[in-house]
Amino acid sequence: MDGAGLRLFRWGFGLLAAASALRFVAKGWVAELYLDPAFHFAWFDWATVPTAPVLYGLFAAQVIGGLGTAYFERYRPWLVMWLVCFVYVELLDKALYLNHYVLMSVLGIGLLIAPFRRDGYAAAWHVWLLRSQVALVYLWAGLCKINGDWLLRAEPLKTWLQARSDLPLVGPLLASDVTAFGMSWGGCVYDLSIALLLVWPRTRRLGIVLVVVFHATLGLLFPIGIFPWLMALAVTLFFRPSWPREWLGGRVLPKSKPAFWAHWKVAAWCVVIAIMTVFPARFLLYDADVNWGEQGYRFSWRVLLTEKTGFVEYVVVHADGRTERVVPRRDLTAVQFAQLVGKPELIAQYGQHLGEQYPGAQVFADSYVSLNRSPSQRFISDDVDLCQPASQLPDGWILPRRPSP
Amino acid sequence: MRIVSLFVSSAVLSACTSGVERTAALQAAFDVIDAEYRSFEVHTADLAATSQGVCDDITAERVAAIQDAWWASRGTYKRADMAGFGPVVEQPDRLGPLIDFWPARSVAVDELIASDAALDAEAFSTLGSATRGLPSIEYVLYQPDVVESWVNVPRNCTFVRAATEDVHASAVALVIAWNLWEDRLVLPDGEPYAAEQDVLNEWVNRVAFAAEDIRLEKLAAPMGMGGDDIRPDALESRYSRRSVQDAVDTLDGAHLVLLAVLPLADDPELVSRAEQVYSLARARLLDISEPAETTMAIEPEIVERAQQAVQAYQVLVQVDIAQALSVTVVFNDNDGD
Repeated sequence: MDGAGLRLFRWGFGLLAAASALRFVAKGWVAELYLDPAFHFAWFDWATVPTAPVLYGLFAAQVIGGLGTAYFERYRPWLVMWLVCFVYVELLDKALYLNHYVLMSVLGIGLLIAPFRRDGYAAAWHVWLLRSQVALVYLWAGLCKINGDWLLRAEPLKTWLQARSDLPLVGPLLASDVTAFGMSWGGCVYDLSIALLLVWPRTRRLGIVLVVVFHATLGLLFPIGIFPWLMALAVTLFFRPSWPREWLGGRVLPKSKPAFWAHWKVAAWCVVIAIMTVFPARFLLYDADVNWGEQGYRFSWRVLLTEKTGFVEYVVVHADGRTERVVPRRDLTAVQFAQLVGKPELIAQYGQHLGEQYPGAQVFADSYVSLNRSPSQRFISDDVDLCQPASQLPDGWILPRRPSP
Repeated sequence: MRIVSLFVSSAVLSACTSGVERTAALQAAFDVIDAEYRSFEVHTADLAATSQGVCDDITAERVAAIQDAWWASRGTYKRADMAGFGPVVEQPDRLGPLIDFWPARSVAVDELIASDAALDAEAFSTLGSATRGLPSIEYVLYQPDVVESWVNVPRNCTFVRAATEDVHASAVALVIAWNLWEDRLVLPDGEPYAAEQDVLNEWVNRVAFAAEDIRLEKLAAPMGMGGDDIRPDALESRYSRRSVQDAVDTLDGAHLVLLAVLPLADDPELVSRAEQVYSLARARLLDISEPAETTMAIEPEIVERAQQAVQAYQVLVQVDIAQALSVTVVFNDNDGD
């Protein structure tokens, strides 16, 4: 099929990648989020924060890589440069995890394997692969919203909208329960249906309008960075493949002959799509509320589902029997602490860090959490020594969520 | 179409109510602290007045009267302890250190008294905060054999007379400065609060911090790590045996502010829980008998129970109430020390 739409997507993607990295430098986030903190929730032991010149170099490489991806016809080396630097930075701190950065990485990989042809054509399977990925984000986001908190209590939207009620003009409306319920149900229906609306030519215009309204609203109400821009860009994948030529009045390429695939290619394509579809469902392997314990939560397109506030301190029992209370907030940034209180994995990781700081000591968490305005309750068992990796902690170290009254 | 109209009109109706309630709640919170500061001004006026003339005729009754006036002043100031922002810490006022610089620099106070420097309100206004404020007065006012000490060294009395006048002057300035912050705290539209939600964040966080400071600074720090290394010098108001009452007053004031903003959560059950948890924390604190350092050494479990009860209060505020009011939890001033 015509590769013009896909090319334009690549340009937009490259520019967005560059802008995102530039924003980190311009806003001082490189220092604030990576260089200044004394501790990081690294994904791997080897993912350590480098020196300032190297770290700024990684961000500069992202900017150059993004621009190169957009500008050069032979874009792959630039895209690889962006992807490696971007993913490495993302691995430095779990507290800074964002779903849309994962999506950017996945789409980046998707572009990397794109068989762009010099004659302007693109492979249909590739366009459909990218479309599927975007559709799955929406689909899973919608499926995850089918729960009591979201549909029956309008949480956490009610809480978030209340906080924006002092916005001029629309602000007061946001404080209303009616608005919260309307947006919760509307958001769920939108997520579940938008991919279909975009795929079907007769409803595509409606879908585009909905996408613009939805993401503009999100962007205005919540600080979610480049997410609205990324999703607005992703919508173009659903347009007719030749849409840029049509819009610019250029010559539309004649339809190419349908290519017949070898069986193994069909099978491989189906396997990839199946993995992308099923992977977010891995939370079903855990016998727990995924929004509470967050096992299987990440990389699953579970977006805007939880509002957690919490309290975490650690009780360190030294080898000589003396006890000490450690307040992690004094060692962490506001962002890290906000993530720590609601994520068992991070609570365990910080406990392990304390264990390394105090050899021979036992470390226990004293933690409470409220999820989506349910009454607070103890979160992590206070008799489990956290001086070991989360994967080795005994069953039941995350206490189950009590049903809301 | 009819559904949309119904939706919009319902939202508008409830929204109008909400805006008015928020302003009223912020005004109520402001007024809680305002009332305490005004009361502080009155009590420090009484303190300064009581201190006048004592130096000509130092008697146990007169010294006791100054102690009573100091105690009352201290109580009102500690009830506003949670308002550690605005003119309390911000320049150009920065009145907090002039009123409650802690711990008192006893060596500096002794040196000042032993010197021949002028000891009057005017001279005090040029001094640094180390020798000014309620803790410095307490150090001289509650020393052992205070009457005899003052009779033998009259500059002790002169110090208190000047220091109480100075504190009263600071109290007067505080009331004025606090009221200049009223617009910023009730109808915010710029620096340091851009919106009502920012002020609400400030108040709720401050309530949580007050509870945290009681647990960690007023109780845990003097307790030491193992119960065998009590640090009396880390106790607030230890000369006057007011350490526990200081904590109770701080909690009381914080809870009054909380009650002012809590109606915004529109959750009577949460209000009821807050009252219960507060009452228990208060009662547990009052279980600690003075001298607090003795209780810490002999009956540490009583202090630990109080810490747990205050922690329960902090959790309720920082977790449940913060979420109910859409408050973003930020950092305590003590973080990063």
